[in-house]
Amino acid sequence: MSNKKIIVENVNAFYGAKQALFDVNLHVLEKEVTAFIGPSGCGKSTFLRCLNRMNDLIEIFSMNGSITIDGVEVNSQSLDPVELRMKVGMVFQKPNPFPKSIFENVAYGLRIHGLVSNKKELEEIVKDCLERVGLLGEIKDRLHDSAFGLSGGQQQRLCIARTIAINPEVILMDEPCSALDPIATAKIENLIGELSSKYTIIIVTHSMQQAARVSNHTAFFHLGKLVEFGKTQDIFSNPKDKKTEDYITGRIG
Amino acid sequence: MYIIICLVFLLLAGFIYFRSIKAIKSHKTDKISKNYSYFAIYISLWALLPSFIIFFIGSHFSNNMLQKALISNAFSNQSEIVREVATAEVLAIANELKATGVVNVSHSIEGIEDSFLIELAQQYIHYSNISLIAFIAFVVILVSLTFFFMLKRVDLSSNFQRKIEKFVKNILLLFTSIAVLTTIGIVVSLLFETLRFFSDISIINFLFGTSWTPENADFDPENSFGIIPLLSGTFLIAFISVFIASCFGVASAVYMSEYMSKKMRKVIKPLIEILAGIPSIIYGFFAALTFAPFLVSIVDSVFNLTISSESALNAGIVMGVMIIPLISSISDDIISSLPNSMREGAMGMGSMKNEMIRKILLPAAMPGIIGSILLGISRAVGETMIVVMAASLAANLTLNPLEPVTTITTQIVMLVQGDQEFNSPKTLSAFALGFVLLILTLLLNIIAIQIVNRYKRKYQ
Repeated sequence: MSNKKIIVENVNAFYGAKQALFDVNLHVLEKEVTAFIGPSGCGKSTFLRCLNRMNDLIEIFSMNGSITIDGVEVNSQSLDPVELRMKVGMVFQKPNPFPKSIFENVAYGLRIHGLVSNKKELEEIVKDCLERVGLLGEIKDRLHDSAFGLSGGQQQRLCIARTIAINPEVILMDEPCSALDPIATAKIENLIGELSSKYTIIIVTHSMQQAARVSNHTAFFHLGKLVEFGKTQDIFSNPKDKKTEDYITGRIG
Repeated sequence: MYIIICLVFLLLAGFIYFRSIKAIKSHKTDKISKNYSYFAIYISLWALLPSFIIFFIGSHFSNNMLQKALISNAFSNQSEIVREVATAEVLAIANELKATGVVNVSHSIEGIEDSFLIELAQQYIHYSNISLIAFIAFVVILVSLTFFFMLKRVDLSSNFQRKIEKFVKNILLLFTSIAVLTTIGIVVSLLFETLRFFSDISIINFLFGTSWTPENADFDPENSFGIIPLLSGTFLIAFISVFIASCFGVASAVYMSEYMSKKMRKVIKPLIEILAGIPSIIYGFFAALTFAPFLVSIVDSVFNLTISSESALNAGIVMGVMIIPLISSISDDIISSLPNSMREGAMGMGSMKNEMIRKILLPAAMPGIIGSILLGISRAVGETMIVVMAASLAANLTLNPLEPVTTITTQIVMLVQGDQEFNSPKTLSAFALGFVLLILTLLLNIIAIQIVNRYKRKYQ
């Protein structure tokens, strides 16, 4: 039984006067894949972004409640969001490689955090990360070409490579496959499976099949509330809540 | 004046008439009723067009012809100068007579009786009145004929709304082409005068000569018009100003787009842009009267150097202040238009804000920022008032910013100032300078716009 990596208690979140999350309580187990599902606008992305304080960038956002990662309060004033984000990496909905070469995209994090001491080490780690996302073989000869020349799926895998390069403990994925075709999606899903042996992964997804395929635990959000949270198997085969059942069977959402 | 009133009345009458008559005669569905108005507008426009042409051509030529036939003929035995003076005097008397009713000969002309002048003026008024009435009658008849003709010929079932649409489109095209043709006209006339200059002075000496001394043009024309010192001065000042403007401009753009709250930005950005609205002549005397003495004393006391009060540094710094808003405004737009996903990506990696800006945002925005800087250079190269007031008139070939230099624009102002006849190499050289300036700014603008556009396409 793995231990609880992230513990969330009574989280309420607001955009200005509008409340986006109501009293969310859940925990995320270490080195497992947890999926957040729910209809658009249900607050699952907002919640995900609370976990690495990406919402700090939004002026009108505010929240209360407690989120701890390894027992450390995420929202405490003393915690530097920069350190938090090193520990909690994030992959976004739309592939967003930096306007640099493929190599530089992965090297960026290593450089800004000073994780490598020399050029050889840098090159090794970059290649290793690209290898782990299955990209190295495909782009061996154009490491120094622009990242924008890659296909959507490749770009997304590059973004994952860039994230694992700084060796985070948790990886947040915000609908990572919604802009991709089925083949690219399958590749990413396989990758998630492989990565889960080393990282705690939280994935927000629209696709229930995807949640069923990749996750160990699933949380169902609806209208800002956490409706149901449990083992993925249980949620899909035997939902306790009527709303979850309706959503899973396609009656709402 | 009368003629315009007549025309308006006629068109209005015609318009109302056609609207009503068609409404009665029509037997088609109600959708057509909208068409009547358009039909009326259509006919009125067609009637307007010939009368406009007649009006412009007629009013221009009729007075000229009258002048020639009546006045100049009366003095045909006089010399040309007397004839011109007398004609002008008669016209002056006629104007006064029309305006005040009082006859007043202000300049008597030798050999011609005053009373004869007055008589001519009265005759002139008489005939010009007749011609005006004839003119009005002609237009009235013409418009009526057009109305009649259109009524007979036009197929009433056609879609007049579409026809008017086409008409409006053509009018817009006309205005656009006038603007474009004017530009072409300016360039062509500049080109011709420039060629005239190069028929006197060799182009090699002009482009590569290192001495600019138009005051010596009378005894050594070939070696008086070397543009190199002007180019070096122009670019020295432009370089200083753009250097200053890009430091301040890019810094303020980064602050406005990345650090300032949206509310603040809405207030601060227009404030900076106001700097661009200050007339450059105000910067000019600020540079010459306020800043120059200040700079001289600072450079003297702090660096212990001598600086001319007309130094390139002085003009360059003040011009730089003027160009700041241009660069900051465009750079701010470009940095702000970078997709948010880029910021999130960088922040999600645990970047500090300054790392994100330095390593991700600025490199991504660089082509656009360079474009804005090129626009700034082109503005600096063409800027006139500041350098006329603050830069020197003597063409020194130097790259020392503490020494006085002159610019192309300053020299053009010097060359064409006052009453000049445009036939000596000295004055014609202004056109050659203007042409060089035009080519320079045109090239810079084209390159800058290309860069900015290519950049915009990449992220939108």
